[in-house]
Amino acid sequence: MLLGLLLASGLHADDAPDPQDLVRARLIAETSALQRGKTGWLAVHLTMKPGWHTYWRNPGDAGVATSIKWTLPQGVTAGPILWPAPEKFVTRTIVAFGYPDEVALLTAVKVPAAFPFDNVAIGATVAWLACEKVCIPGSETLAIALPVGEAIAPADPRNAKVFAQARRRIPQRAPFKATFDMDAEQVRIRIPSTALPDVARSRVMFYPFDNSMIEHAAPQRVVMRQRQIELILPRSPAANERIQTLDGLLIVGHSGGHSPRVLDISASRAEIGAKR
Amino acid sequence: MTATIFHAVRAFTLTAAVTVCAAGIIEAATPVARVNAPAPEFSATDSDGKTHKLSAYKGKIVVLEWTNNGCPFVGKHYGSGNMQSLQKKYTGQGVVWLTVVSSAPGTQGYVNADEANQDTQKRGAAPTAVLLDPTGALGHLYGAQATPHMYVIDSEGRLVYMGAIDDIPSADPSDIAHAKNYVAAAIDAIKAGQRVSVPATKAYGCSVKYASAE
Repeated sequence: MLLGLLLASGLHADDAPDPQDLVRARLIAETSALQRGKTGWLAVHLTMKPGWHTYWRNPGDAGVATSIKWTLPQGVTAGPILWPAPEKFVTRTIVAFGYPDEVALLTAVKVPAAFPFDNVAIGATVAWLACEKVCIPGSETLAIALPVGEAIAPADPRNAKVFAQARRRIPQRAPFKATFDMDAEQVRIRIPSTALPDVARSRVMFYPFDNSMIEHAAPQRVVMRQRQIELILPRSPAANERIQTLDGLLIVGHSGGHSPRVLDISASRAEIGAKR
Repeated sequence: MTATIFHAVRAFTLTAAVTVCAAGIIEAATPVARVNAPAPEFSATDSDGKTHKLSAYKGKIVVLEWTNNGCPFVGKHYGSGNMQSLQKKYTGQGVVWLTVVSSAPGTQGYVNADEANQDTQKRGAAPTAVLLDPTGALGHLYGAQATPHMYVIDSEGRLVYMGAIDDIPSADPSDIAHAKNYVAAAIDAIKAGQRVSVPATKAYGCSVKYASAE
């Protein structure tokens, strides 16, 4: 109670958990150097205290996505985070998408061909929200210095496992076209039946990137039509009516009980026609 | 007339429940609160033991603010004085501002009546009342998911805004100065006789700490 009041008034009590004890943050590189004119890979690696999680790009109904603000020398650029597939935590009517245990947030970094120095210093201010039963925000400014050269940079063996694991968790782009439409009540995504043979109908789910499109806690219905699989998702009142593309992850469970396939889809808007 | 509309809303809820059963999935009921529809009627007790019925405030604008005194996002808006300023400004203009605590006993943010009043005094808050909702009934009726989660009801009892307090989802108080406050925008619009341009957004913050069992 006292703690609550202190936090509410912006102060910290002595017994408040230290954000750095809940989440350990590191900035690591896949290679031991960066190559001029080429893309290299960095990762912000977060290790969570058991029971705690941080958030995906769409945090769900509460929470906040982890953010990275890069500090880069002139000419050096950093791409967007490649988000691994999250876990879905459901507490009755409230859904969270996030990562327990650990997560590596991969980002491509490019050093220009004409980069004039032999070393590059890169900074990343990482801000996260860690939640268990309660939520504690944390942030840390991390830095890494790497040599810059002309040769192909060798992999850094210390980080190989983290990068390999992270890459396995990054969803693959779906090899088929999806469409969607929406009305006041529903968002409907349609994918060709041929694209997903052997699908267990109860086990197709959609996790949108935008957190205001659907009611995350509401059941998602799967309708198997002759040529299409239709996902019927209850629309959120906060949904943007005008969007033309609906991006997100399709979680596809197979009948055999293998771990689900996760596909990155970008559905284009198409009103329902006669063809089904 | 209002009663009829209220029934229509109920009928919708029932339909939703039937659909859920047909899909063979047991899930929590769909909240009744819908934007641009009559706000669901409720009767709740405040921290002074007084009963508040929404329908008794017909003719006035009503704000519902879900809170949790241990949540850092609530801390952002109270530590900075932002929430208190909004409460003072709008209650000064005749708005009824009801702060709601839906944390279950034993969870973060739960307060009894005395503690709720101490919170109000300590943070210099100026709501019309603090409603105590330890069972979560009011929270579930409105579909409150986060703290803060904000609702604006117009003088005819229609829900005209639901969602975030502003457009920068962070726990950082320095973001408040350059954020667009959706609650202020909604109240100002209806006072000016205009439509609320952003009637629904996704709330951000901590999850509401509801009782885990029914």
